[in-house]
Amino acid sequence: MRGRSHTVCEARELSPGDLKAVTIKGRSILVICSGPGRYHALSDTCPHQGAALSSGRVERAWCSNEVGRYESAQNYSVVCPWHNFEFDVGTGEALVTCDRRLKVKTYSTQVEDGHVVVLM
Amino acid sequence: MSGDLGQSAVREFPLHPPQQARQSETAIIDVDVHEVMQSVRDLLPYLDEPWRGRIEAADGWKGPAGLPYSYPMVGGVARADAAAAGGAPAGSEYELMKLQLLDEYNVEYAVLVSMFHPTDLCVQPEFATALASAYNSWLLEHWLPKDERFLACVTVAAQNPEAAAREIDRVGSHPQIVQVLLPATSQDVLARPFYHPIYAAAVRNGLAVAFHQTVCTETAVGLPPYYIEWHVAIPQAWQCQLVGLVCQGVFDKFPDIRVVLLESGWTWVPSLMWRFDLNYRGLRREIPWVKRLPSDYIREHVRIATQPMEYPENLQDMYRMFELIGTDDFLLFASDYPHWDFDSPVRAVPRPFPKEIRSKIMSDNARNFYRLP
Repeated sequence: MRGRSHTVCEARELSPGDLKAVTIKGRSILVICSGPGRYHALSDTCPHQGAALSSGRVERAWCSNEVGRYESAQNYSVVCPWHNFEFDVGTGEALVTCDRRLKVKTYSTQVEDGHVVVLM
Repeated sequence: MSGDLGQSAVREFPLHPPQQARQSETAIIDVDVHEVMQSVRDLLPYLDEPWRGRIEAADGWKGPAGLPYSYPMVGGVARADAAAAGGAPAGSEYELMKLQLLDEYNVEYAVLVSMFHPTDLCVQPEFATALASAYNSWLLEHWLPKDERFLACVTVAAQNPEAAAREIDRVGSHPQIVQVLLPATSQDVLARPFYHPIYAAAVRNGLAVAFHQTVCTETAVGLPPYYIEWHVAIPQAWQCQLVGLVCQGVFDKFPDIRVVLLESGWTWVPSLMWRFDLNYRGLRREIPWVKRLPSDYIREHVRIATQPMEYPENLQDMYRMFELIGTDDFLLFASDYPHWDFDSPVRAVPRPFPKEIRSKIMSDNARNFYRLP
């Protein structure tokens, strides 16, 4: 893994759907748990108009093939607290497919000795 | 001479340089032409009891209530020169329509769009359904055989969608029927799943679906005090129906469906698409069954009739607005004959539109949309 490792928290501190806002090297970073042993690190700044994503919501993305029916997808998204843009926590890409240019910067993570580590 | 104002108080609007009225050089397709009954009693031969008696009675049903406005136009709702002989309503005489439109302008096809909308009744769904069926039978017997240039719509009572679907199945295979006609109503979102049997029937019969104004077309404030207020603001009703078609999943559920908006105007389309796309980016979670950007659905599935053309002072701006829609296939020429805001086929599309675009608007786009030879 390239870059320096930054320990964020104990892995057991975050359950699936939890998020944690931290500052690393002066940057606001959002750490999200999407499943047992699965963690993601993203910029905490929405690429649309700069809102703090950590004030938003992490959820399994809503999907459906029928009017009025709501189902949860496998992947998690973070929903911006301002305009409710949705970003995949794994790729940082906006769920609305035309918005590839609106992408949240992502960082590599891993678990070391029971701690979530972000590489930057 | 008295009364000389010097500089004219009224500025001429230079749509075209002064010239003699000219014939259309190539055949055109007109997607909004109105045939009219002389009276609702025209439907009596096509109605069974208990409906027939409700109209036959001396003080029986006279037809749906109209708009409450008196028309401030010199010819009422029609062109003053389109009134039929003996005071019959404009659009009720084939020979006059042939003279003033079909032959005058080299019309290859004219889509007849009924002014009779049983959906507007809102009440008595069975009676409304019977009226719709009677109208279709009347149309098939009295109008379509008159001219092979005529195409037409299936009239339905949307408030009874299963029956409407049966009616579409009954007449939808007629070779001159090209679409199902729905009102741009302000009473309900006609894209709701309740109405989906209508779209299903349209698709299985290879028909488009058209939305046209009716007496139930209102503005965001209902019926404002003056007719001009109503006439200016009613595109809001079509906008709501169009937004509904996307949000209620019609384009996802019926990927082959074709929709046309008649008399809605079209210059609002770019801003609606921008606003709609922006809202979709933020509110997709509410309608996850909608898979694509609203503007993508609109460009793919929707067409709009040109009439009434809404000319800005700088006609180049009009062409720029057209370009902002993002597809050359979008506009279909319509005259709205015999109504007062009729657009002349030889004058409606202004000069900044390139010749090849003009040709698409006047003919090719409708030919493709309606799958005409």
